Amino acid sequence: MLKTVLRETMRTYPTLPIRLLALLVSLLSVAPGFAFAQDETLPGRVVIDVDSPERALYRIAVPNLLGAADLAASGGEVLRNDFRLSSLFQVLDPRSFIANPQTEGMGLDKNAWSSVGAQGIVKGQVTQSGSGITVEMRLYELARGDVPVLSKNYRGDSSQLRAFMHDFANEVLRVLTGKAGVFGTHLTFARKVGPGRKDIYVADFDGNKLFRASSGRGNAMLPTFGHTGGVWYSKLTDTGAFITNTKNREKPVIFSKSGMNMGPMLCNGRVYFSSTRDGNSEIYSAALDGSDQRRLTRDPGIDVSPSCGPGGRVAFVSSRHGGPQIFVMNGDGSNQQRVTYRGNHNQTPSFCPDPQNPLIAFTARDGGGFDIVTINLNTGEYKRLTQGQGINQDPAFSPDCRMIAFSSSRGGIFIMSPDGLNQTKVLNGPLTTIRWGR
Amino acid sequence: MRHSVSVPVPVEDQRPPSLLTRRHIDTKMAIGGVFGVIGAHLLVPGAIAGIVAFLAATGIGRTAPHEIKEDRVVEAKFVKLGKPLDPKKIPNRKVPVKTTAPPQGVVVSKNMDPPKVKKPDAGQPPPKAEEDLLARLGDRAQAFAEIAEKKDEEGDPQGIEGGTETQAKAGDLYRGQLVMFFKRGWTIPTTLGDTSKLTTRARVEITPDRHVGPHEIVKPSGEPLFDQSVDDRFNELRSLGTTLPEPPPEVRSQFEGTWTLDVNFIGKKAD
Repeated sequence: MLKTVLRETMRTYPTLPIRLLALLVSLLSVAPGFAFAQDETLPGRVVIDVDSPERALYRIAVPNLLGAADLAASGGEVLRNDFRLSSLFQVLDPRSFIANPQTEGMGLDKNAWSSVGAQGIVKGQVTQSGSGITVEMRLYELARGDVPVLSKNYRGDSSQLRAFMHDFANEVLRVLTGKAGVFGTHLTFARKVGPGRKDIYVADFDGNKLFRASSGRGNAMLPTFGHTGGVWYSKLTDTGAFITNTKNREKPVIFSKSGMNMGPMLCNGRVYFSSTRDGNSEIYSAALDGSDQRRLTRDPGIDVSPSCGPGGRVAFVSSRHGGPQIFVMNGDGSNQQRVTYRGNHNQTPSFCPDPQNPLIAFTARDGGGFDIVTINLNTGEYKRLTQGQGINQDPAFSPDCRMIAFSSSRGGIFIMSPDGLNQTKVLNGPLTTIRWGR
Repeated sequence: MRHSVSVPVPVEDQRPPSLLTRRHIDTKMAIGGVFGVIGAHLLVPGAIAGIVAFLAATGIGRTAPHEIKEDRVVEAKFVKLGKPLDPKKIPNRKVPVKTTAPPQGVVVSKNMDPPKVKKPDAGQPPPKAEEDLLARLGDRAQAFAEIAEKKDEEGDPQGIEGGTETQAKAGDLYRGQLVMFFKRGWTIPTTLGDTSKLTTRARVEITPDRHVGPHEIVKPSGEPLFDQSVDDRFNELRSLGTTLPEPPPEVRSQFEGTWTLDVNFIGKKAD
């Protein structure tokens, strides 16, 4: 029956298959058009795309804390200084503020702060009772309304106010960038105290709380921070040099019958140092108690200045290819590779501890002076951070790689951004061989 | 001996076919025709529509949406040619140069205004000018006749009626000027991390005198600080009273009076 019907249909409409095929093709061809018609822009409206914005420092307002006048002023100044040194903020001048702190209290008058251009406002209140203090801190962001995006309270001795402020500044960075800051960390360095004499000192990263870590006798140099506090350094003697630390009260931890043992650096749970015990300066490692000493480099060139990096890698300086250049190797001495090929005298490497940021800062001699340069290990890109600003050397990355400390003939230790901007002196004096620790 | 087999043949088949003979339609043929018509006009299109609906619903055969072709505006910088750097030397320090250009409208030079050029005098009318009046009137009549005559037009159906290639290029050029107008001075804070996936769409009203009028964020990026940077940019333009660049004559008619502009602020390639 169906066969007959189809046969008769074909006899009646012989062109029917062609018509149906054409209809099918036309319907299929317009189907995607129906599906994506909604993506089309409205006709007659001018639309432009703007990209590639420039970065500008985050404008932060930090008025003095409310409450006890002396503490309130010094607390505000600690915060402002932290933010300035970070190279991430433009700290607004408190003299431009128009908000009334008495009526505003710990709240926020949005109009008053927006009119001075603030994007973030840090407010605090300190209450003193005897030698104890209670500090209440808040961070507001105008773009997020008048509810604080960060609140934190501290209680302790008044001498802890600086630590409280550093901690809150670190939290502010964590909230704003997703990565906490390193305010309140420490620098250690050698200070020339007389002809042929150096001592080891430690200070807060902003130059405060400076104190001498070595005994004050003899010649101490090339310090670094230990894993569990304390400072390791080299001590020169009449017959050579040994490595010691503050916990051992300058008793030798790593020494040899002859030769110099210098430049300790702690990483991978071991001490890395250079020694001339075998006649030529090579890199060695040892357990923290001085035992299990292993030689890691074997070549006729001079190998010195080990510096720890992420992933257990170690950077060092070697003259095996002629002039001193920066090399890297694994913690066990394997896979030694040269990384610097520009300049004929590169030394004092400092690894950025952040594995996402494969940078090494080093001192490069160019002409008669020294300058700070970084090299990206992935791209091989060099970036010169100082030039025409005296002699600059001994760079040290901060633990978060947001800052670099270095020694300058301009008279002390400076801190700058990894782009070489915002160079700010934090310590005065003939200070060299800097290391940055927590 | 001849043998023959006789096969019975119907009488009608023995007749020669004639076009004059009326074709006999029996019941089966009539029913088949009716069903054939129904099938051709209802069932088959229905089946095709079903297939199309199925394809649209499941996405089979759907091609990926075409990427919107971007009009890239490249900022050309003139560099001073010099000796190539020695690849063995430490490179020089590069310090980012801060934008020092004053806001528009601020006079920084005594010679800021362009020198006034005296327009040349048209002089005496050409000879026989009055004698050509009749000819010119004829030309104008011809022009009116051509306008009245509707001609087939080719070109982009989305384009402007009567638009020309020259007009399109002028429009692109002006779009580029608008991009640079809003981009210059747009900054995002250093505390923002990766902004490559952030886009804020803003709608702004342009006044008849080409000033930036009220604006609104029509599609926020989800990052308040990023959206705030867009707000700040518009507010800055409004407070400074900066005027948009003047559109080229070819497209001036499109940007007359109060008009609306949509600006996508995209965070990629943040510097």
